[in-house]
Amino acid sequence: MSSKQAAAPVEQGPAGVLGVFHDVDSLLAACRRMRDAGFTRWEAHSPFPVHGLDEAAGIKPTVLPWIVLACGLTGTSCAILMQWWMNAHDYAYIISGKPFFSLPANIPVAFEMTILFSAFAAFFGMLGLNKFPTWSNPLFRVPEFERVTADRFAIVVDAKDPNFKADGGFLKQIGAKEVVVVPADPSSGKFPLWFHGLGAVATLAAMIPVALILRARFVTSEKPQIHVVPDMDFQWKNKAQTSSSVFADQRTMRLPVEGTISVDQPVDANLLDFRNGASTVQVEGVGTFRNDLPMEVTEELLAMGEERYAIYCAPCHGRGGYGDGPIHQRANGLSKDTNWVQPRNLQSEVGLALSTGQIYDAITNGKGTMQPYASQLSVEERWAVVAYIRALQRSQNATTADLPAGVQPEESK
Amino acid sequence: MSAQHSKALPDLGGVLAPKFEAQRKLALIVAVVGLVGAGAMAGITGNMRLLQFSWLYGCMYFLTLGLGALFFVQLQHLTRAGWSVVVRRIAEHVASALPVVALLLAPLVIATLMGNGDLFKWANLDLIRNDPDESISGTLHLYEHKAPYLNGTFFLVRFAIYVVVWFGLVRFFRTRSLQQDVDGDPMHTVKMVRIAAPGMFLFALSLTFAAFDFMMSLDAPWFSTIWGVYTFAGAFMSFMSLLGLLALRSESKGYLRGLVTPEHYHDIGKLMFAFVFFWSYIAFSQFVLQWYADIPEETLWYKHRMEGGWANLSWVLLFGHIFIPFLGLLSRHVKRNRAGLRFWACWLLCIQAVDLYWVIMPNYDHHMHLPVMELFCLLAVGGVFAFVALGSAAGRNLTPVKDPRLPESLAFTNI
Repeated sequence: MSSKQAAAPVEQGPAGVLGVFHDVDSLLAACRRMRDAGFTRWEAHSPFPVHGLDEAAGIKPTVLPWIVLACGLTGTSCAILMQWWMNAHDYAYIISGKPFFSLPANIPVAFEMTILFSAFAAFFGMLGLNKFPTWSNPLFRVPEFERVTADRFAIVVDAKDPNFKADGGFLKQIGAKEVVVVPADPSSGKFPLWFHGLGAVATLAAMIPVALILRARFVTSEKPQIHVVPDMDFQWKNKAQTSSSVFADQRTMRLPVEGTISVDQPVDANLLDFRNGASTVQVEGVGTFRNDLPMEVTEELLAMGEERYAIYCAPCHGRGGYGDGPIHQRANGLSKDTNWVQPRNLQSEVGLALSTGQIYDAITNGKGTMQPYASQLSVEERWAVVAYIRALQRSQNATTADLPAGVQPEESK
Repeated sequence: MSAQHSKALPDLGGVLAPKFEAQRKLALIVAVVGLVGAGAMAGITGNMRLLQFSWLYGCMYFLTLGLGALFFVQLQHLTRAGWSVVVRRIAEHVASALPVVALLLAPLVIATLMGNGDLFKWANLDLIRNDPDESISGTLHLYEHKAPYLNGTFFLVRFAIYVVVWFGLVRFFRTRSLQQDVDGDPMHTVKMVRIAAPGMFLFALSLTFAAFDFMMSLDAPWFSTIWGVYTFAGAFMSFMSLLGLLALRSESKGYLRGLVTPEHYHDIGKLMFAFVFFWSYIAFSQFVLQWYADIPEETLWYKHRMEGGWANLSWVLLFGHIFIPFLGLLSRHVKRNRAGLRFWACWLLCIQAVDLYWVIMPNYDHHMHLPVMELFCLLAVGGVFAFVALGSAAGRNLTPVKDPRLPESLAFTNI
């Protein structure tokens, strides 16, 4: 830097004038007189915060709170928008039976992002309003200014102030012990090249994680997954559907002891029987299934069926039963050549032909790649889902003949 | 800064409170009107159950104010706070009404002890057992499970402990502080700091369990471990509002002139603002955890407050206790402005009344009604509260004139 200093010997007027004070009270008194005399471009310096200095110097309230408020509200909006996009729009998925877009669940994230944005606004806004980073200040070249960090107080009048006089006569009048002319800053005030270089390198380095994330989104990999916490990924325990060396039959999953009775309420045998009912159908190669509902169809039953369907069935079969739920869409979107089989379209010819007993059987015991849902749904709930599926099928394949007598259109009569 | 500390104290002529004779008479009249009104209503309608709920509501409102005052006094000693000395005496006078309001709960405690299940169903398990509504009789095992804690005798024991603890703490801080006005001994301050630390533990435990006993156990199968904090948040918020109002009132009547400055109002306003938000944080945390977990014995409490008219009050709380006062008190200029602070202090005192009403009254009826009896009880307890607090202040200094930190408090400025 010293070489640059020498390279700029252009003659300039002073940058300002510095008045040194020895105690707080005379500084405060001087500040009041500066303020009342109508000075606008000047600054008071003190080694520690002085109560009442703002008021004595006539400093107007800062605009910073408004910046913080604006950024905080931006943070709230961003958080709500982000969660709406993720949970309700881009990847709608029912969690714990809650609505896709439910504000209570969004509040914690919105709260955190409000604080994050506000904190950034307060920190960077403060730096910006204080004109940081400033590379060079002419005051640092005045030896008298050094003691302002220890035991002296100062008022500096900028040369751009309309009331500025280079002799600093006014500062002496208001009690300055010493008055020093601050020479103009000989340095260019520009940032050196290495500073810009450092900024560029830091910016590029910050882009690396972003680039890696983007790459991972569009490139497939043959390499095995990285296990960050291996002892959590590979645990010393036997999981379901695996073999075990502990037992003679090598089954990890043990059967209940002979004669075990379920702690659940005993269920009506008629509800458990999906083969025999008031009406039955013969399905070739599989057997007989009942095709009626063993429970009275009430509004409550259908409402329960609708809710359970939305939680357990809709992720694959879709809200409308067309076999197009979010899991199917995601599986299709990942790759076209997987072995993914589309979930049964309940509105297709095959789907509509299914008897109630077959649907109950599929829910209870699973079917194809579909896992059994017996542990998630009670017997009553399973029949409620069956009833709801029937209603769903009817709603999607209704004709004008299904309308009640009074409201049928003319031509169908 | 020594320069500021060495300033001579301003003329302390405006710190000696009057005898408050007219005001105390008025407070007594209000109390009698409230009592007669509530009694007459109960006599005509024969609804003793509503009378008990209303009386509990009235007591809880002023009990939380008194608890807030006791917390404020202890907090200032515990942290050796300088700024607040000038307004601390007001809090000491307000806190002196706390044990009296607590004693006003005694009739309810005795009724519960005698097996009257109007207020606390757990006092008479036959009421649960024989309830035709299966959603109530089906919870009998929960009541039986909690019976070792929720029974009349232990309830009385706990109530006695609360009264003793509160009376002891309030009396200690008030008499020491008043004694210092006479002898100016700084050792009083040292001793109060020493007692404030264990006192704070006693305060936290007594407030938490009192909140469990008198409000949470109204719906005994329901529970929330954060309940004490919820009650505390409302208590301190409402007391800071009352403190702001009392300081403003003293100033407008010519007392504490030049002693209480916008700097003190600013700090009172900051604490009001902080506890508006703290209450919001706690209330929302309690709600979101129970909403998300969706366990029937927890969500039922909120279900009662989302139906039958109570939903409207829930909305009033959401906006009136969270969003509106948050934005209203956010600005520094509002907190330093006397009219602004007065407005928000009144607002928060009203919303605390709404909050407690929303907490207590849905246990009386799942449908809302016009709160006439409740207002009579509020007047009755409020009259007693004001009578005791004014009696404590009458003829005594409104500020601790010989507190060693008073000069610091008078010179206090926010940066």
